[in-house]
Amino acid sequence: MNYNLQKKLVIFGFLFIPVGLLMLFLLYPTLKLFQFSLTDWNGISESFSYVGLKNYLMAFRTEGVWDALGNNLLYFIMHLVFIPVEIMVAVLLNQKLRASRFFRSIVFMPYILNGVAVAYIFSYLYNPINGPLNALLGAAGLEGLIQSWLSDPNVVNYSLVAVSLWRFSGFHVILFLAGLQSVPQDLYEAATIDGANGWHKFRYITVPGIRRVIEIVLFLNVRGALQVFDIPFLMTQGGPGTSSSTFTVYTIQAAFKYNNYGLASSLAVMLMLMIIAFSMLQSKLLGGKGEE
Amino acid sequence: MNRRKWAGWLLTCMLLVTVIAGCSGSNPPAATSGGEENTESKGNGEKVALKMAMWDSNNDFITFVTEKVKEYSSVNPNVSVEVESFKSDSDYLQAIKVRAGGGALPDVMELKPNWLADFKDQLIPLDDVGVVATNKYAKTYAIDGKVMAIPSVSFPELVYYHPSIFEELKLEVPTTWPQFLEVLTAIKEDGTYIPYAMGGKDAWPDYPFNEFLPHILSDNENYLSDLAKEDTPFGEGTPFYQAYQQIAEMYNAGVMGPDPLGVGADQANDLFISKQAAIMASGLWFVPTYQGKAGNLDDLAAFPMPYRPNEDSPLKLMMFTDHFYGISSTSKHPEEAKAFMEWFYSPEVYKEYLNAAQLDSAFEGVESEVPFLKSFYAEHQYENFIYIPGDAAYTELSNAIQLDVKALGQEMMAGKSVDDIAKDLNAKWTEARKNK
Repeated sequence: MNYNLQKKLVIFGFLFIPVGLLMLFLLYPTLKLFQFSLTDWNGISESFSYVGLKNYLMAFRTEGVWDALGNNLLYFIMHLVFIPVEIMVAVLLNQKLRASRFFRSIVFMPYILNGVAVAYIFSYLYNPINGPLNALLGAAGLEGLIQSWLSDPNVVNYSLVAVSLWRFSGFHVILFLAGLQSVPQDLYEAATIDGANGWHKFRYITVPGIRRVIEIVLFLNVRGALQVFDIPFLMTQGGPGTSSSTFTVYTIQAAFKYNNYGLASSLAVMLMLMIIAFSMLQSKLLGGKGEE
Repeated sequence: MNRRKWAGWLLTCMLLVTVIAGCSGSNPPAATSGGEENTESKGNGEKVALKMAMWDSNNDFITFVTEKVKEYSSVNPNVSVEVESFKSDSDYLQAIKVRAGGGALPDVMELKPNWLADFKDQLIPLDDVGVVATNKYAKTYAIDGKVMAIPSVSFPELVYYHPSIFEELKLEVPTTWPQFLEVLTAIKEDGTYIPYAMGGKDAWPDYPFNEFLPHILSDNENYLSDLAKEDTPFGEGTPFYQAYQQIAEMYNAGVMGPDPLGVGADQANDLFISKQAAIMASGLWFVPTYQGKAGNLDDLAAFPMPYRPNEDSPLKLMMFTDHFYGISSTSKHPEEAKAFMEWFYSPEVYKEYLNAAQLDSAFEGVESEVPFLKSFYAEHQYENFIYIPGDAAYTELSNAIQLDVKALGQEMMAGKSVDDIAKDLNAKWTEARKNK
């Protein structure tokens, strides 16, 4: 066996395992997902029949799916609105502040916490009986603001979005901070000499400098908003009724509660396509400009 | 170069050995479609390990069953039984569904009555198991005439209250729905206690109302299956509509504390146990929970759900049959599993099981010895009404429209009107029947 053959064999051999694992645990389930999305499988019985695109059509026609997507949209919008705030916080933390290191780690803390723990913390905070949030509002003389945080269908989604913001904003801030630190300092110095004020520097140096990070955060936002699951599932199980259900919660319930694996698989395929489509759209919208 | 060549050879060999080792291993037997391969030796004196899956919220009960089934090895030294337990029925259901999909169900598995239709293809008929003859309910839950699982217990669905509060506020135990509402309102007006502890945040605690009231009001044990025969079984004039109107009357009376939807089941239980709330409805299984937390049953009593509009009709008591055990069709040792079930439900073993469960008996000749239950039976006049789940047609339709009556209860607590619910359900039900 010559050396080249041995080299190829080694390369092939070492690649065989990761590629095999990838095919087994990623490609094969994905193909199976596509297959199940075309069937009426109930998840239990050994047999199923192919129903064509019926599940996809049903998903489009079902009100619950759209309601759930509407809730996902709220997560997306609220996180989008918060991006400028996150950038501002990052700019602030990037200054030479007293104890800025401490603040940086504090900002990042919520992201490290386990999702289940976060859900329990906030379930307690929002509790209508002996709950600290309502007690605090009462003590501050703001009884008018006391709400049924998790039980009023008009309020519950905002309460859950607030938890999501609390949990993920810190992570975004750290990403922005990393972006900010990569912007060369001499650009700011040159701008100062040219007479630029703080806003000009922010608008014409900082923002273009962290454009890549903004793109990443936007992508994470789209993906995160479409996939949001643990917070509503753990805190309200999508309730009261179905008012805080999200696309993923709806999918899980279709599969495990209502034995409709076919529909659930089609929803999962649609989720995948939606994430791909939105991400492509986003990179197209942001892409062309900054490259020059 | 020589060294590199050797290194190359060495790496190639190592890799080949790893790959070959990975690919070989224990050869799975043909058709490993189910159960675990538990046989240690074949032929005479074959050792068999049976897997049994169950769930229970009570840790002590899980420990009891786990230890008890080990005793079977002294009866049949060749068979050992190992329990796998779950803390909640929803986690359990999810796990066995996944296993059913993979053809890897445990040999003996626990089921709820309303899962039987879904799992009927995964179970074997148990009509030839001797203990079925003495089971009071097995035949009631037969599917297509075959007993697919044996119910272990039955128990009444009760409305619990604190006698001390009733005494303090001079209240009588209600036996009709208007009286029930009067009692709740009186407690509310007094202001000291939350009248009814509803853990509405979790959806399921409203089952005594949203799930059971239409059923019992229909006076037809096969009510759920009969729903599947109608196009519009939810509109005005139906038991569903009437029951939901009654429920709405209660939910809208403000008798469930400041925010029933913001309180979970555990918290609602605690409110009741700590006497911050006066009344709550639940199955008999709540009594051990209460005793565990309160330390005694001195201030606990119960009455049947007073669903009827007046005293002209007899008061029926919803009896729930639960903890069904079946043998999976993919089990490699069905005969051993059946023999185990004969032992498990033999009067001596079953008696211990029943005492540990603190529920009512499902077998002739074995009486439950739960003092709370005995005094409840002695003090109240009622007729038994057995909960029978919907058949396969009902399950199919309700899954198709994603019918969750407990979530509907939450929506009602949040203010949704019965008319809107009925209209919506009728429309979806009609369409689902058309698409069937």
